[in-house]
Amino acid sequence: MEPLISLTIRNRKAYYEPGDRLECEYQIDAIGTNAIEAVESSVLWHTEGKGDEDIGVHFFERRTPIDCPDGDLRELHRFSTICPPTPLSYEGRILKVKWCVRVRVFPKNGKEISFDIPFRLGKGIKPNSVEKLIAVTETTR
Amino acid sequence: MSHDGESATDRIQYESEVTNPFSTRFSKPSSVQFLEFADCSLSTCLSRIYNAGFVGQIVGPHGSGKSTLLFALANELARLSPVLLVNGTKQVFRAEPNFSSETPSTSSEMAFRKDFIVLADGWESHFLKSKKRILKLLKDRASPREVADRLELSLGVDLPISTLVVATHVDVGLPIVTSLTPSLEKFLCFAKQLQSRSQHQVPDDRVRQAFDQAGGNYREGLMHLYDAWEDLFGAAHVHQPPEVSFRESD
Repeated sequence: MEPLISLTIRNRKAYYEPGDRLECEYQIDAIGTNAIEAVESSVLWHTEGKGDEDIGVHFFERRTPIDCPDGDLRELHRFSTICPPTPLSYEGRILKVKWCVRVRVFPKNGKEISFDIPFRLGKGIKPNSVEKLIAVTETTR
Repeated sequence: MSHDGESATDRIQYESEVTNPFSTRFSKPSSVQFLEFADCSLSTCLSRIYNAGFVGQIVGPHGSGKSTLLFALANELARLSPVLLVNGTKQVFRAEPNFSSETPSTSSEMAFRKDFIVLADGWESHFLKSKKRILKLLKDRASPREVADRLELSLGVDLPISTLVVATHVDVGLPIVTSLTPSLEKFLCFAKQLQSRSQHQVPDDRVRQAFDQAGGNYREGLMHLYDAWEDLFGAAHVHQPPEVSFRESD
């Protein structure tokens, strides 16, 4: 049986503005106390679309048993980060920018397990609003 | 929580599910599972590679699944031996099985494990001079160890290369591992596999149309399917009932 990752964004909102604090917590279950080699948590963005995927890591934390008082990585752990100014979430036709919180568990034996929770940075620029912006810019030239 | 807050959250959750299953992220050779058919299975390919002394070629036109097959073979071979997958001068995949010096092992197994199996994608993009030297060496049918030593010199790679499997558009004279031929049946299965992650499905007639438009090139076909999926279910339809937008576009 694979380990279970319970990941939550504690201050869940429809979207986060740059400068907002993102607070998260996770807990690992269905795995033995000493069976975890490391747990990595990150806040990252990645692109999706027709071209090559791009990725950027905004926050990263790796914990090993020596980082815990009793060496148990399964226990509830909290982390937070301040949202950066860019890149804002974007849902275009050929390119999308998506943000997520990710937790990866590396068991001592077996394959790593990962769980993501998507969130949105910025209200979200719609493709048609970009077109409108271009049109307004060209009109005012 | 206010009613507005709930609806906003619901909207975000819905939007997060709107992910085009034909994005490169999901459809690139390293992300997809190689689909086995009667004319090409991983076990057959592996046994042919083994029987030929870990030398061979995968032949097929552009977008016929050569890279996907190479990745699948790399993952399988990595259970036995260190594997290096290169495309031109770029290293795209490298894996080594967990090897402990404490593990009981015969001397021949040790020697095998220490050698890298090299899989070369995009054989056409390798420098001609380098290719000719490699092929000449391989055609000599030297023993793996001798080939390894001489390949190290000819490629200038600081790795104990012993074996080579290439993906190529045309027959380059190596033992054939498999010849890939695109087919609509395979493309339909491939599209179905990719769409298993999505709650929205592009209908089969659009998949057939994409295959025809691409002239049998899977990669091009996936680009057409990406567009078809965006037309039917993409971001522009997020705030509309999917059924309505589906019927309108179709």
